[in-house]
Amino acid sequence: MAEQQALIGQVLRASTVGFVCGTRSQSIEHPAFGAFVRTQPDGASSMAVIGLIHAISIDDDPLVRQMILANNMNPATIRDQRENRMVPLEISVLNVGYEQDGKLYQALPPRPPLSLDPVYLCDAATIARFTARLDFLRLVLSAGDVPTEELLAAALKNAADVRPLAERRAFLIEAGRQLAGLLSQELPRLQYVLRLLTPA
Amino acid sequence: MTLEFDKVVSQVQAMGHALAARSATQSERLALAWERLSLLEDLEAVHQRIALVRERDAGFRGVALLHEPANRAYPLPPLPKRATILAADGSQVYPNAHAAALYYLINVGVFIYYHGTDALPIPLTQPSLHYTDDKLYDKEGRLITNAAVNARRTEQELATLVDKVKQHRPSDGPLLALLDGPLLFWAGKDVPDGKELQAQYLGHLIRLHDLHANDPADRDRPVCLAGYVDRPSSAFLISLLHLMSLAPDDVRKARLETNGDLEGLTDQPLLFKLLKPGERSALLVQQSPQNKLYHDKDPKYEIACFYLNVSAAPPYHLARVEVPMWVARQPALVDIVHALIYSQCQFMWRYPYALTRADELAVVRDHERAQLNELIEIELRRHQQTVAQSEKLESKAARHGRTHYDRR
Repeated sequence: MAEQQALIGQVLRASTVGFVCGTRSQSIEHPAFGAFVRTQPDGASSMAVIGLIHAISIDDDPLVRQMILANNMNPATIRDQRENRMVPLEISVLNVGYEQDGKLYQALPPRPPLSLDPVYLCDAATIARFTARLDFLRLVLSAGDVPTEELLAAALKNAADVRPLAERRAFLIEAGRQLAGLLSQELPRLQYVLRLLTPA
Repeated sequence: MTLEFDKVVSQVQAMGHALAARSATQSERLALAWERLSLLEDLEAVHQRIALVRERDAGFRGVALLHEPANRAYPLPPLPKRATILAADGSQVYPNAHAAALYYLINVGVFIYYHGTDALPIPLTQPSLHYTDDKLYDKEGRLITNAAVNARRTEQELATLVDKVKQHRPSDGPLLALLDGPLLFWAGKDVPDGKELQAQYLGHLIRLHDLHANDPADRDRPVCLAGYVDRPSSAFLISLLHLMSLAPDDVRKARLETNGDLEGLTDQPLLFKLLKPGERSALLVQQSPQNKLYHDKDPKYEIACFYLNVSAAPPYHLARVEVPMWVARQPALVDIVHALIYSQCQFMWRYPYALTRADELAVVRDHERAQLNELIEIELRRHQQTVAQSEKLESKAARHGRTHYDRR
């Protein structure tokens, strides 16, 4: 198994389509929209689910709401809220593949991860290995309740960034080709994704 | 069966008329009370009237004045540069005759806030599980009431607060120990160990005072205690206005059973007319048998109070702040309590931040209670004890509550 990156949380709820992991609000530096993550199975399972972060949210909190109404923050109360209180940060992940017995599959996993499974950011080697094929693009395009175009663009940029500088352009051109095939009937959508991938 | 509105409409109309009439009457009473308060300038006259009502043992339950006229508002003093605030609050799990085992739990939350610094506040909790027969049954073998658990919780709140003050007292600056609710503690007849609890409570008050007073080198780090009563419904000041309106011959029990032409009015609307945001009322001393007990132990333990407008702008919000006499008699300490509590209320929506956090730390939520029951069940089974079915089902139901995560 590849070297693990930062722990971003533990699975709160899950299905074969995606999962939500929770963490404390001061851990918000690590996860980012479009990042590749993987669950770490316990000893009973050998399958790690690979997904893309498509939403990061902080739950409503009556106490914080009252503090906002009072409009009189100070550093000590902000530190107390962020470091002492268990304000959960929820990270929603779309499943795009899984790893079993050392092999990577770009398909929905046969089983969801379990509650409290740790979730890590994928390291560069895993991202490069996983995105050597781009079959997961179809999974993202067919996902519901997800900002599909923005998610694809962010994920492909992340995948390009882990490659050597000389290979990045070729990778993005190949991704663009595959997207053109998948979105041949939806030209405005294709144009939008390609624009998101193009530096301003 | 649905509500038949055609049968309710006429009743709603009658209700509207009645409430409007009551409101008009209240306005007239409030105007009368305001007029009387405005004229209540002579402190000596109030002291004499209180002496008279005590002499005649007339059952007066209003307030006496300490050393400030009641018809004035006292402005918000400057905040101390540094101060330590320890707030305590408690919650409980009551004994349940249908549970796997009979027990009750008291959980006290203490929150330490370092005013004037960016230091990270400290949250603490102190749970205690009670399951022995002497704790669960009274002398007649009856299961204790919820009121008994409440009384024990109140005693533990102050005990824990005093312990934590001792452990966390800073090397400089004042300290404010803050409780949610009145400082006067009275256990009813349905509390089997009520008298012992009251004695223990007073003992904790004395311990706290001793921390404040015993070291002469500690003048720059006084220990203040305050009880915070949110949105008080008391009519202490109204009772005083009624007492002062009576002719001397009428100062007797029968005339003091009600507040006469001010009956039904509470202090709150009157104080809203008197106090602007941040201002407090005069220091008041409640006349009650409980307070007399405290006074008889030593006058410095008697409880005084003041009203405080804790809002920053209309609509106004009132609190009653209770302090022991060792604080009330020292204007500098009253200023510390006044300024710190008002400041704390500005972080939250008109309630002290430290008390909000202490309450949050203390509260035992349903799923935590279910987990505790589950732990107890496991422990009972480990010791070959039978487990009652009803509680098992209840905790299972709570465990299944987690399926709400599936709603997306």
